[in-house]
Amino acid sequence: MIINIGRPRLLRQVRVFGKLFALNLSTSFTYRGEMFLWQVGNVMVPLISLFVWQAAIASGAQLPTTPRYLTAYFVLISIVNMLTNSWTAFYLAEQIRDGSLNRYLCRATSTHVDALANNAGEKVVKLILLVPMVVVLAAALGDRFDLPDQLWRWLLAFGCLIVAAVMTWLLDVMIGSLAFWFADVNGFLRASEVIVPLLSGAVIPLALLPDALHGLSQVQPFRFLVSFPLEVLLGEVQGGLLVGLGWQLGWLLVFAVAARLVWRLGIRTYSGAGA
Amino acid sequence: MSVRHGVAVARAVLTLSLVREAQFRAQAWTTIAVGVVEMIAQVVPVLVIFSHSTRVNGWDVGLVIAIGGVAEIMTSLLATFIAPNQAKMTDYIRGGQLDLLLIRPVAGQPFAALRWVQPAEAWGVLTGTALTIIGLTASEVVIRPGGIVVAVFAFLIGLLALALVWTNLGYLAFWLTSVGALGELFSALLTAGKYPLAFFPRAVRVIMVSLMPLGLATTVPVQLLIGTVRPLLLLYGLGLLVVLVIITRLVWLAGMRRYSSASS
Repeated sequence: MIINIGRPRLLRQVRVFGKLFALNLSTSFTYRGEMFLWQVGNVMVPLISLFVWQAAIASGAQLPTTPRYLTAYFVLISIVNMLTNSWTAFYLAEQIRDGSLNRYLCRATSTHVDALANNAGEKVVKLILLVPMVVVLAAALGDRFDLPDQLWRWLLAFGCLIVAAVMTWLLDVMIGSLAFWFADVNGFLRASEVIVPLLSGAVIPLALLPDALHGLSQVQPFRFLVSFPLEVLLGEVQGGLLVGLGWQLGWLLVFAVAARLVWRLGIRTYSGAGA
Repeated sequence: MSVRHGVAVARAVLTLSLVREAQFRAQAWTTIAVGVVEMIAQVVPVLVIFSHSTRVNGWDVGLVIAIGGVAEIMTSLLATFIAPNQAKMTDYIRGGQLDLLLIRPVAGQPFAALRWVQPAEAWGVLTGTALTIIGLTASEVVIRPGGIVVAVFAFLIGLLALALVWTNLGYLAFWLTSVGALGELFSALLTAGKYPLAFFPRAVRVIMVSLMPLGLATTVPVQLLIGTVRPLLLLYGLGLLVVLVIITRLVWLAGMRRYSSASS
């Protein structure tokens, strides 16, 4: 079931989203201890990468970007990673597998509205916990990196971040929907957990890839999930800003159409076994 | 409990896990396929770093790949034997399921720590060994049989030390509501083991050979193979292991005193 576009229905879905968002926000606060630890991990892993790259620079590595860009990238990536993250696929696959999707099919809303509200609600709590850690890290690194002072760059990067978050969520809907045809989608999930961070720039800034891979890395869709918002913010967009924006919006469209298609095909094959 | 009894229990646990894995064959194959993808993903960052530099703090690309291979073996063994049990520790203690382990005619602490095994995760031992051999060959390291024995011994010390640290984090469930996230944080930090100790600042290196002894499990075995550290270092590792064994026992006993079954 996908939200119908008719205005009264859209307004009703927005109201439902608001209620579910508030509910998820309060539930997420209950798990603030766990979320705090997750955010520590979120900061520590890029920090490990930063140490490794600083060692390479200290050993005379000739990088195609500046050490200051690299430091800013690894300091900010924890926030971008968290805000663009999605965990819908696992729960969606579970609903399809155990038949609990049924309860959404007979309600006047969709499981996707619930998933989006859960995603947004948790992220608000995670952001509250993560930002102080990043501020401490930034303070510890002192003057080793620069942040842009143009407001338009921050606003544009924020817009790209929202698009990236939607794209990641759509990708998750596609992976989770595979449960319509496969009894176990954990393999797909684990594969995506390895491949997506690598291609999105979450593990290595894409600007550091060898020249032979630059062309491909600039147009592949995963770049626009993590790397691109940071490139926009830090003012080093590979291939040009306008071209990049065009690619991101194009991939958003492709992801949306593909997710809708996979979901619609899947829901036709679905037969709830209970719940 | 006699050693013979302990061995019989270990054999039963392993057999049961293999039977369980055979029931979920598709999942086992998926784990193996993803393991190959993970191996490739592990090498890519190293290759990218060394596409910009021939040596980093005295380490060449082959040796760093070898360390990545050893780290893969370490992660894989921890995922096979330790992670599935630590993931259940909160439920054991909060839900009172620990009762069912304690009333069995087996030693409670090792049984709770090693009851569940995920054999499919052990695939990483093969891919990690392959990576280690490829890395050492690329670096043209001449390996002596004695060096392999010492390196394996050092690796086992580091691995056991890490397993004990993780186990102690799991025991915090006796005092905290949930420790699942601590385990996830621990798993995330294992990433640091893929790189030589020399890549990190001094303070981080100290942590990586004491509180979180990743360096002992990954860097030190490779250093022993290439002969850049003396085997005397193993004495430190053994000392750390003994301290961790004592701490683990004491924390378990303290937890047992606090534990009040929730199910009975």
